[in-house]
Amino acid sequence: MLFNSFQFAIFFPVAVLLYYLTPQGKRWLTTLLLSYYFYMCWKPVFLALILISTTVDWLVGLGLDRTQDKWKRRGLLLTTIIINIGILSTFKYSDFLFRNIEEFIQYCGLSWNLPSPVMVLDNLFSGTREAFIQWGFAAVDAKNALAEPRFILPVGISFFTFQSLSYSLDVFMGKTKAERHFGKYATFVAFFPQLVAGPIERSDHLLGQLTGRPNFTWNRCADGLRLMMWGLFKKICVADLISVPVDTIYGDPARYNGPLLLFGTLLFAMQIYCDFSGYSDIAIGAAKIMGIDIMTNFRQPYLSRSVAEFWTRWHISLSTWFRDYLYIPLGGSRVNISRWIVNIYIVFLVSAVWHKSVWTMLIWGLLHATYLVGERLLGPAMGRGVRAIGLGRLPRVLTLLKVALTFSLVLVAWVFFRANTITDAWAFLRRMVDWRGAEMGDLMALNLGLPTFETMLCVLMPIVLFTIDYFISEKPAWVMRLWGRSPVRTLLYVACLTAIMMFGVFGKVDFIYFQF
Amino acid sequence: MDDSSKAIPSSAPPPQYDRRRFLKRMAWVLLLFMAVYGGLYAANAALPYVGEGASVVYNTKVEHVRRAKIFEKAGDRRKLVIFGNSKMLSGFVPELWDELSGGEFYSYNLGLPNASKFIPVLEAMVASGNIPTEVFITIPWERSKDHNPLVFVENDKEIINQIVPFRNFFRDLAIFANRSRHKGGMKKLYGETEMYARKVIEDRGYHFIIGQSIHPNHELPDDKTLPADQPGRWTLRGAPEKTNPVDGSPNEHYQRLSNLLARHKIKAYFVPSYFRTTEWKPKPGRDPELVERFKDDPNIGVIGPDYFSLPNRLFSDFVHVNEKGAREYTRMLWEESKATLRRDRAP
Repeated sequence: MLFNSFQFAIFFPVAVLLYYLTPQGKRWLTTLLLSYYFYMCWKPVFLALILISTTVDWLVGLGLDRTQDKWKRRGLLLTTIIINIGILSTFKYSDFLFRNIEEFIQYCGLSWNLPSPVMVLDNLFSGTREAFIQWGFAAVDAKNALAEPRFILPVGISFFTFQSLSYSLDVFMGKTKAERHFGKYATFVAFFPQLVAGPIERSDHLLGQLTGRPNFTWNRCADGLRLMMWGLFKKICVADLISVPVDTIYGDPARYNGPLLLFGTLLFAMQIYCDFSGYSDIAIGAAKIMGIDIMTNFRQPYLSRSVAEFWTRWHISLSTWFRDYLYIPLGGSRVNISRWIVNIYIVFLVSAVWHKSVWTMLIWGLLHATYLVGERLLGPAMGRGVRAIGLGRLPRVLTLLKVALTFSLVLVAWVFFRANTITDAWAFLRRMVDWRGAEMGDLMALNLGLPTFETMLCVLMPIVLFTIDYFISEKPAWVMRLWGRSPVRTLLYVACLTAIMMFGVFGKVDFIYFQF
Repeated sequence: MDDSSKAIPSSAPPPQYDRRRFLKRMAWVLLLFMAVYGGLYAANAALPYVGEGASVVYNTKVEHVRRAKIFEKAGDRRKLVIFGNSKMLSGFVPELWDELSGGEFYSYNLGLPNASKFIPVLEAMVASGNIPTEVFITIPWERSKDHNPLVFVENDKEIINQIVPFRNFFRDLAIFANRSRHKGGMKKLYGETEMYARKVIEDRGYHFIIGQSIHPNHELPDDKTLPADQPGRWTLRGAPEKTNPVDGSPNEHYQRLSNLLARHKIKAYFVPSYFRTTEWKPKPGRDPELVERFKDDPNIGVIGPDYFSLPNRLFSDFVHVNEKGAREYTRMLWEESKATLRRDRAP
């Protein structure tokens, strides 16, 4: 069920009502059933994967609590990692792996067509193909009846497997005690506001809240509604509107000149931010109304002054997950510089693979790792250079330059994130910086997949959004003074609702991060 | 870890809500929002001819078949309606059709700009008492979608367009204001648009899309082509499905249409559309797949090929015929279908 749907608009108030009408001791059950229903609205059969992941991690948690034997504990942890990553790999990475093995074999001169993973399983266990298709785990490409069936990626699989895995890791590291009640643990894994696209929560933060007394106040209810409205605005008035020209430009980049390619990439930067942060806002707001706090996922990331800062502001739940469960166990920054560099590349490559199993995503991860390494190695020298030319005495100019540079670096990486192939991405970048012969009129003359008025909105809405984000981040006192006046608040709420009503894109447009 | 106050100022003072203040704030917001809604609704209703040509024509025609008795003057003649997109809007001349049929038919043109769905319009027509005896179809119905029984609301776009019929008001107003700069002002343009809309009704839905015509005498020169033209190849209309190809369940759109046709004793026919001779290769004969699929269907038949091929000079732009082309297309359609229509005379 999408947050930006009438189905959810009906489901959520009913869910909240049922939630608060349920006696506190049984509230976890209501939440669990609502969460399972929420997830089954995509594809009921995928609930089986959540149940497997939940059961494995719950049992492992209990096992870890019962034994202090080092090898048994490691064995249990390894079991959960293998099963969770195994499920994730089967649905997400097996096709990529098989295709690349096949290409490599053919590159070596052998003509051998490797069957798809579904067909391999079918060859091993006869009837698997039909079973997978019938149950809905696999499908044949509708445009090519001769193609072999491929696994369908279950919505949110990367999110709930990581959330469930984090629990086992926390129990292993002694950060939290195992939850003995299966139902309450299952509720933690499946909590619907953050089930399919995060924020990825931690058991010590969320589990207690789900089983305890919900922290309801009218203030929190107002906050929650406000967040949901703002998130919906970002999603359907900005992200979904922008998606059309972005798809048009990235779908056929050879048609467009440098300024338009840059325009398309700027729009994509806004699209992915509004899409994902919009979802997170709705998730956080919905949980707040239910008296539950879940972690912030975005903090005005495009106002970052360095790439390192960017990763403390973008998809915070995932970056902290990798920090706590991969980066720090590898040694973090408490190792020598060479080892640190290796650690950074490992973390970002794994992060790239977590997103999607395509080569362009790996380049995206490599780029960000390189940026961070560059910042650390060149940072002191750049600092000396800045002081030498006197920029240190102009803090605002310096900040602006830092923000502009960081944004530019992130923008280059987004090209790889969005492009279909590495070749496309390189060609895109080369042409994006080539402005010879370009004219201002080009922007208006070409059809970007939207009528002129909507194209103008694609420019206006991100400017409005960026301005609001800037004031919230950099001028909070000013915003608070304005926000303190109730007529202003009322007018802004009505303006937001009117914008959603008049300019929102309705109809099924998935969130970008659902593909991960 | 609750940093959500950064997204929008949240629980820092002020405001501090208790139940009374919360409900009071909600009431004010809802009241003001309803006032905005009402204002926009009224403005949209008061200015039906503000907007670009396609949306004005679309809204005018759809509202007309919902409110008016379009077959009032038909008497006991057979009532024919043709559905399609802007090609039909500019292609089918009801007056000429009636004349060619020797008064046997009273026809109406329900070609709608950018139309991809015709069944809801047919349903609306029938619901308001405008029941045809024959229907010509030139666009297919939608394919089956996998339906999840847990999902009870799926058509969000239709719902929002029903609840907020003025969603394009700002957009239409902006476009209208921009166009009026070159058309002598907003009042003059509004009058002209109103005149065009009334003419569409007078002409029983037919409309020559003059706005897109840029060539002398509204005739596309013979040597004009588009890079996408493929005069050596046919194009297929495709046979819309009766069942879901994956699980064999009935296509819900086909079922809706069939039930509607059967209930009101309406006979529907797939009929040819049209393209330029330089656009696609002329295609003789009926589509065998289409014929096979509907050969035993009591309510739906197939007349003629997927499309007629017409020379450039009968077109005003690359897509739509001019007035001469519309008469030629209507005449060709009559010649192709008269035998079948007379054979399948409606009860």
